[in-house]
Amino acid sequence: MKKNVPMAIVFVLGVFFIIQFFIPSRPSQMIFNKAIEWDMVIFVFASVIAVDSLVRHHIIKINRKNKGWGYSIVYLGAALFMVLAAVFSGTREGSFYMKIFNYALAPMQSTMFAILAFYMASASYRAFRAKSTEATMLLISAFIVMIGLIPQGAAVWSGFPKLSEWLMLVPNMAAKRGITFGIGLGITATSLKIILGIERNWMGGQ
Amino acid sequence: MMKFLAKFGKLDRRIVFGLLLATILIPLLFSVKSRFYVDSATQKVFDYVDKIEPNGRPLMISFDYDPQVAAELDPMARAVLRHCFARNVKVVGLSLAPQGDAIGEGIMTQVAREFNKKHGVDYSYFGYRPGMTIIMLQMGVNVSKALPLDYYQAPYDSLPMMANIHNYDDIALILSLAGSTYPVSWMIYAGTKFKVKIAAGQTAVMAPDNYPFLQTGQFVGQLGGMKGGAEYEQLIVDAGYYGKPDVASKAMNAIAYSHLLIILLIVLGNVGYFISRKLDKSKQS
Repeated sequence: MKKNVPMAIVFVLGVFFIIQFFIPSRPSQMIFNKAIEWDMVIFVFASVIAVDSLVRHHIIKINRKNKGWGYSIVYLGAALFMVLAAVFSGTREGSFYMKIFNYALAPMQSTMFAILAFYMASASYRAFRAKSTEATMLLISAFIVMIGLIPQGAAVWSGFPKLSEWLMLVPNMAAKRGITFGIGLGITATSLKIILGIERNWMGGQ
Repeated sequence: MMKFLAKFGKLDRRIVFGLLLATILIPLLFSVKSRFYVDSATQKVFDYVDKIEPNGRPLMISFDYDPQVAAELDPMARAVLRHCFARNVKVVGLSLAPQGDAIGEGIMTQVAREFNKKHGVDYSYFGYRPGMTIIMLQMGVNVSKALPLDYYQAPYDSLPMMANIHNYDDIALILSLAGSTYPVSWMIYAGTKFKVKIAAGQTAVMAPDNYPFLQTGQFVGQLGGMKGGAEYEQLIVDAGYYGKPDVASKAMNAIAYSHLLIILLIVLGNVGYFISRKLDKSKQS
């Protein structure tokens, strides 16, 4: 029962929505519109479950004193603080919540992201070595793309930005398109396996 | 001399970090000015927005990002909003990312104030809408059901500018600003299914992923990273819609010098690598 009912729901709805996509008749469109409304309700319940599971995870970590349990206290405290700030001060411009958002949360998150630039600079200095033909090609492409992006590149030679754009629009795009086809086929295959009940990991690996 | 040059192959990372910090800070402190080459993807977004009829169908901006990538995406949002408000193009704002909610409110309020635009009349902001793909699909059928209340809890029907907006047919363009794959989802669920025009504003890291969709026309255009923001700022200044370039142009100068530093380091690193290899060979023989 626990296995068969969810699998039956997935099979019926999966097959129905494939057909619905290709036959946009009035009745199928009405069912589609109704399904979207249901989706929104399901999403709300799923969000409640997600928040509950996140809070539980951190509470268990704190109770068991697992590695890094102190961070869980900080996380739960900060999350609760932001919720209370939003509830009591509102979220309009100039509110206490917005001040915390703009002057604490946003700079902290931006700092974390900005630190990446330093690691990337160090990593590219070490990684871009002309050790083989492929590595040399990568090195030259990176050189052209970087110099083409900056005004100094155009000042040295007006062709750099165009060459950089060509690299992005032609060789980069060809590679990306190949990868995207692969991903698309993978998604289709996995979706079919789920609809047909061959892939069951979504039920907790049973 | 050879031994000295070989050292460039193994610079301490603290030296690299220090040099990078200097190349970022110095141009920022001395506000160096530059002109940018505008790439075709940015130009297409500008041209499309420039052709939207004033006081006609609105532009929808989706603030699908968190503060960590705000440095790159905020300037794009400001530049596009300035372009729209200068031309009296109406704007609808929303966010599909929880933290984009507050970001969007701050930016829309600030730029609207610069142009004396009224909420509900010239622009509307709906804040965070949970459900991502569900919201994208729902708006294709009925926008008022997907966005029943605005950010300030005013009902959809009470906003004069929303009176004629029923579904995607009534929206000129959706611009999704994101540090992840939200624009691609917009393209799949809104663009492909409901034929609404989509443009992307992406971080520099994510922008190359979208080139296949630019070529096929599934994206009208794209603003890529800080450079995309700087280019758009330059375009609206050149077209006379705004007085002077803003923060993206300043930041892009700092980024330009850091790019030069990285190029220099890569060259020096390779020189050091080849010399140390030569020295090793001569030791062995």
